[in-house]
Amino acid sequence: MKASTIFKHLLLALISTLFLMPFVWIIVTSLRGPVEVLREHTLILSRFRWENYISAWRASNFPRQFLNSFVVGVSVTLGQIFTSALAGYALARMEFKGKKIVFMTVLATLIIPYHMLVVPLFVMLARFGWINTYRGLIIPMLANGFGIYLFRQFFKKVPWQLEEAAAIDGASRWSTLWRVVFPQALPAAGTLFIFTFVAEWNDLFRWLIFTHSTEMRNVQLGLSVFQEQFATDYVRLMAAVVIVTVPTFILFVIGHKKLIQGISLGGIKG
Amino acid sequence: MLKIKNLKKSFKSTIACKNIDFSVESGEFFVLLGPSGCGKTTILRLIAGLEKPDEGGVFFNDKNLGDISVQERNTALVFQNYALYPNMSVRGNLTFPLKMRKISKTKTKDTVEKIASMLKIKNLLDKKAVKLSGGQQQRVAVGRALVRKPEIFLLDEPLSNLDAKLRQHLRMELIKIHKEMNITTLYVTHDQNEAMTLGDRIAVLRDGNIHQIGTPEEIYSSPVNLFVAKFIGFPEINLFKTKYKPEKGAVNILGKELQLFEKGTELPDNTENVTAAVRPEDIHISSNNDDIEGNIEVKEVSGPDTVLYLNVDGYPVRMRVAKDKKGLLEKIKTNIKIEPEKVLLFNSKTERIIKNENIRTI
Amino acid sequence: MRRKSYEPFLYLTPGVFFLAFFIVLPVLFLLVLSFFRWDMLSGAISFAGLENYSEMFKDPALYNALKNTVLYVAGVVPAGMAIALFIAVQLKGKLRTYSIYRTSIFMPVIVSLAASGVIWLWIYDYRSGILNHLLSRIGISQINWLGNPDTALISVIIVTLWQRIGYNMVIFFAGLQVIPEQLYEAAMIDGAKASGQFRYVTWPNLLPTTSFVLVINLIFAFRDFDQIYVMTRGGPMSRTTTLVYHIYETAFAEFNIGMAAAVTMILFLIVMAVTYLYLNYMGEKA
Repeated sequence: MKASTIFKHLLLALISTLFLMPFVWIIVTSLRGPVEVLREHTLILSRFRWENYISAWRASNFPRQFLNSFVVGVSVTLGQIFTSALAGYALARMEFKGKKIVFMTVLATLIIPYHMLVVPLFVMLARFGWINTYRGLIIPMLANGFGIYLFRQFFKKVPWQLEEAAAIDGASRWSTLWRVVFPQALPAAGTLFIFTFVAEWNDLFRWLIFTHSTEMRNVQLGLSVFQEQFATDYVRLMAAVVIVTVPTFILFVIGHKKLIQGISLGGIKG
Repeated sequence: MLKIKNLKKSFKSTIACKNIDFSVESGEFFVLLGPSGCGKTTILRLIAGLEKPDEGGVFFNDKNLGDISVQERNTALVFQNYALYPNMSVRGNLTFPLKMRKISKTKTKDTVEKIASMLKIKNLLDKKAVKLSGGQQQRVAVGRALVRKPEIFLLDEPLSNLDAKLRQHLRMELIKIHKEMNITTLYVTHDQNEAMTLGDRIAVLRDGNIHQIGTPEEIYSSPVNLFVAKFIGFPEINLFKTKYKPEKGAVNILGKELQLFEKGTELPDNTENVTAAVRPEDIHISSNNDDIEGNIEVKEVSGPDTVLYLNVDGYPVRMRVAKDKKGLLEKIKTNIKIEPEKVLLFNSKTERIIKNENIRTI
Repeated sequence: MRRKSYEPFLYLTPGVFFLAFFIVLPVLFLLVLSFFRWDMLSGAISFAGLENYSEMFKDPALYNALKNTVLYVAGVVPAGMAIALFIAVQLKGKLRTYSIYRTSIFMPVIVSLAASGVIWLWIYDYRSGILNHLLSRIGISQINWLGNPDTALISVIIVTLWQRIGYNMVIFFAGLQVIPEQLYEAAMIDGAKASGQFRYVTWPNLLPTTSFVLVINLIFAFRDFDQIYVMTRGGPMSRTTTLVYHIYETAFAEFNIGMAAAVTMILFLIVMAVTYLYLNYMGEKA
């Protein structure tokens, strides 16, 4: 092997280790004893204190938080796929006045993060009485410009003949969309699913602002509260971090290709 | 002089080059001809340095190029897809190789203009390279290769993406350029017509092996095996599996006995099972009703020749006759005769040539 | 094909309706709100015209937030892009080891920003954190990463970079894949070494990707909140209070909705300006 290749591998290995270290560190920490953790700075574990996890799970309101995260996450994700597919189909296959404007507007919304809309949204949701409810957390997120764009691109690539064949076979437009066209874009749906669910699972800001009761927290907010309460209880805190990250980690293992796809889609055409 | 010695190269499970060995004289236009997957492109890439051989080496003027990096080898390559730099103009593309070799600005300008004139793309110099037509891009690719006056000029099926007329035209231009610049040239193609037109010598390849090297005439009239005989020539040579009868010095073709040699002539190794091969132009229309009879099924009139596809008792026969055969177009049944001197004999098992006046026997 | 004229709207409506109602409408509402004085606690609303704006421009807290935002963006975006690009270029290739490196560097992306904040709170811990421990081992005195006003922002930036580099790397990598290998081969034959290849083949062909990454990174940087909330709550001494955090505080700690709306408008304008510049640039290229 050439010297430059060895050097490159060393450098990359070093960088990779730097990036992975925090993960290793938190797992190691989570398996330590509460006193030990303040002194011990090596990676060696004398014991594996799995009870830390059980303790952490009990100390916070995790079950309820997991439920909340899950309910909202799945609802938003499925809802987005549904509305995006519909809108994407209309933009891909239908002709109507103002189509271009609508598409431009859809793209324009991509630039506006909800972070900037919390203030007016808060006021609106408060007026509706939707603060601290599932409704308030799910409904505002039911549409996604990115999803619409994604489906539009995919649907455009589906050959016309498929739909014509379906029409000849007697299928209505609605059936054609869901039984013939949409299945062609399953990869896009998969990508959107993972991408959106992870984003939802990881969101703190929205929950911080739009909820206030202990019952209506998601895992991230719960983690933050946990941290406030048990600031120096690093052992259980790290266990909590691991617990909270497990679902996204599983999704990552299953669909990392999709996740990466979703992220890079913008970068290819720009 | 370019020498390729015992080159072997494999990729994962496929062996691209099994044992490639040939030389190219200085200034020669050498063609690597073969069906896709035969390894010809790999050889080119090995010469350019884009791949490293597993065994064997590339030698130029007795120097082993193996240790020289791609950048430093004085080779130039015209890719099948041109691989022009999309962000640069034509001028930019032509200038780039000289810029990399740190040639002075004035010299660069002169060279670029000269090459552009020679390739008739001077008026395109300031256009974006990838926006040009196929033929124009092709010229730019050739220009980029020649601008450095390389010692070895490599071309990888450069004309295959162009339409027939343009291909003809550019072929002629390449010949002219080669004559003018006299660079050692290796040209890869799967089109035997192209190979025959362009090459000083041709190497016919298949599955990583060279089957024959020779001038176009040699390869055409004296193919060393059935593969070469079938690959070269349009329409495809006619093959007849038959038995040679030494006592008669003859073979049986299409139900008629045809004497090839003096009675009693033995073939080397007393071969009996032979494949007789006859070029379409060596089969003629006969007015003799006793000669082989066949049905004309398809006629392809093209210019001065007509190609006939016959059915002789269920057996396909291809003929090439001069156009002005009167009444040919109306005929359905006809008689044909084969020129015995033109029959090539191949050993049916080894597929190698047995005897032919022009070549040395194996 | 059979087509009913109202059909498109039926299909579009759910998606576009939600977008319109929950994104476009709030933007307009935002503008309206910024002209009102509205105290969330008492519920008193009054029209204030441009008062919120004039007050805002006199408020040192705004300039502090602007300053911190500029510093934060300057810290996160260039480094995040350059390092990611460097890594992506190194990791081109099909080797299995390369994909191990890629996955490792990408891993932080799946962790939430909030959880990242918690993780690094532990790493940055003054007394027992691993960083300070390593420092003490090599003889440097302990640093109060998140507690020291001078180091707090950098510490937050590092956390963001930890996450963002993997994200960018993935996009750059996709952009690199599209560049035909033959262009590199042609450049090699023309005599270009590694730096020449980067300068003349990689960089020009990567420009659309690069500008996309730039815009995405800018937008992310302007809206980063979770990690700041978890790690520093905007402190110490408001040294990590960016515009977004300032808006949060104004609206939900000071309950000054109208002012928060006004500040949001400023942030909004900045982001719009940046995006507009990008679109213009891309439009020119097309």
